[in-house]
Amino acid sequence: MDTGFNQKKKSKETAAHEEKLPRELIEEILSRVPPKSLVRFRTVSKPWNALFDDKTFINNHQSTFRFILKTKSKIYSVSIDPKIMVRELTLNIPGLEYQIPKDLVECGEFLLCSMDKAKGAAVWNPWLNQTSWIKTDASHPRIQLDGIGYDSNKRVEERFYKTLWYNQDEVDDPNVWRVYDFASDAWKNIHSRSQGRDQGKKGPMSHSPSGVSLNGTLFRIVFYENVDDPLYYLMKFDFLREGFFRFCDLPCGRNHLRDALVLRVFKGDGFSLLKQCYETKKIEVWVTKDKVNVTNGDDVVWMKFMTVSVPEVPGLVQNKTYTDPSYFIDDKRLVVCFCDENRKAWIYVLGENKLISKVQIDSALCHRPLQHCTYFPSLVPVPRGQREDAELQV
Amino acid sequence: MSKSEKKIVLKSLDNEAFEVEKAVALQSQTIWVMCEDKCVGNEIPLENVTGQILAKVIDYCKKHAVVDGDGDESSEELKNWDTEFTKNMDQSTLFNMILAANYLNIKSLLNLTCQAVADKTKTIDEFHTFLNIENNFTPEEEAQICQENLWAFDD
Repeated sequence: MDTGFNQKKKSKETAAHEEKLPRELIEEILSRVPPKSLVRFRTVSKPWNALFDDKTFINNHQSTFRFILKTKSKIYSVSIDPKIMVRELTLNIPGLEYQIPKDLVECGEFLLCSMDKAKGAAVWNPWLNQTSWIKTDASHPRIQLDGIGYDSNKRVEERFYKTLWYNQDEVDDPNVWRVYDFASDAWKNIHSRSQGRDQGKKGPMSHSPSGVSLNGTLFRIVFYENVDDPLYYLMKFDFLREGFFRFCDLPCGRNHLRDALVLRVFKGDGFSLLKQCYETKKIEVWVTKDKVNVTNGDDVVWMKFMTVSVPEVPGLVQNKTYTDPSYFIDDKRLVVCFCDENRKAWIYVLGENKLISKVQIDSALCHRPLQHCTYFPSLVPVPRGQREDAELQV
Repeated sequence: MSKSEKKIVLKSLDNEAFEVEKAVALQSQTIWVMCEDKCVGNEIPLENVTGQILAKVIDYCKKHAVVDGDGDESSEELKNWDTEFTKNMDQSTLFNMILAANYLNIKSLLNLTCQAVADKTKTIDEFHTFLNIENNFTPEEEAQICQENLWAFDD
């Protein structure tokens, strides 16, 4: 009794007022606190710490965004609700200040930045503006960062990130892939030939330049080139077994080089697949029925989520570069970002067989984007190697 | 009392009465609904707001009622006025303004006051006192979280 009374008395003395704000008002305030400060406030209390890991909270934050656009000299974030807002992002890699990555790839909680002529690549959390630089060893100068992941069996606090790299110098060598492990600061060669199936002599071709990360595992759309009816399916890179494996079939493939075919994570634990037919401009979206188990793709069932076949929707695949559109699914809406033939970026919001809205991103602000991707902010800090940790401590 | 009455009286928790233009008061969705529904005449009792806070809320509504419709020119001035308005408010006033803005359902005032708290409150201790939240971490748990997020404390 006594202790309880004293505690109450103490909190009365330190608090500015006796009342407490209702939870929704606290969230209202926190959604205006800068992201980096949110990380500091993790220790305020347990419910807050949990709130900061809640995707709904992050996605409603005042400074959240949905897409990233890269031009020749700048990087921008684009938020959608309540109106389209473009903000410039700064990427500060120590030693490479103000450089713009040659290639920007979304991978789960991070953006991967490959820099031109630099001997390495950065893992970037643009919301926290935090980067981690991975130096490549001199024996592999033309190696490119492809994806980041971790052993999906481990709990969050035991998560050790590894990165997957593609070695452009050794395309004919089966060891074109390399893995860098942050914890041990070590490189390893990976045998790239997919296991479990060996159709024809040539290995499967990758459809998209980058993969999709689900629970620490990388997935990408691949197909066999040398068959009459190309077979499209998902291949995964498993960071625990350090190898490529066939995962599951896709509900469709491509019939034309300019058909759009884009894989995304759906609701955090499943996939969605968008296809646009180049001939008819019809868009179809499928989603996985249940939560996807990354260790076994046998049970994956695809179901149709949306079909849009309206004359207002143009071709979403960019001319010449064959760049696929970026998109995400928001409840029952499909939000697509793409560049038209004049390299102007557009955001289209689509519903079941209808165009809800379309907006061109201010081209004075963001001129002729070279790259775009979907990216949802997170408070996950970028992984650091032992070496960097040691440098930080000094 | 006819419906076209231009002025209404707002009565605070501590029985302070404020006579204001209807256009000023109707920025509050809560008052708007009360006027529509209850036919309470021209006196509206607000049981959750003290006179001291209500006076400030009315200041805000007066400013925003006058400027609205004046065109874009004044939006910058209004922004500056908003900044000044919350600049010197102490923690306790801001806290009660948030509650009042929420109760009266004045979205723009709620945004403004929440933003002011987010801007003013920099340290963990400030947040603890402002929100009256107890830290329920053990020292070990707290140390672990700090360790994991060391980089965020470096400036």
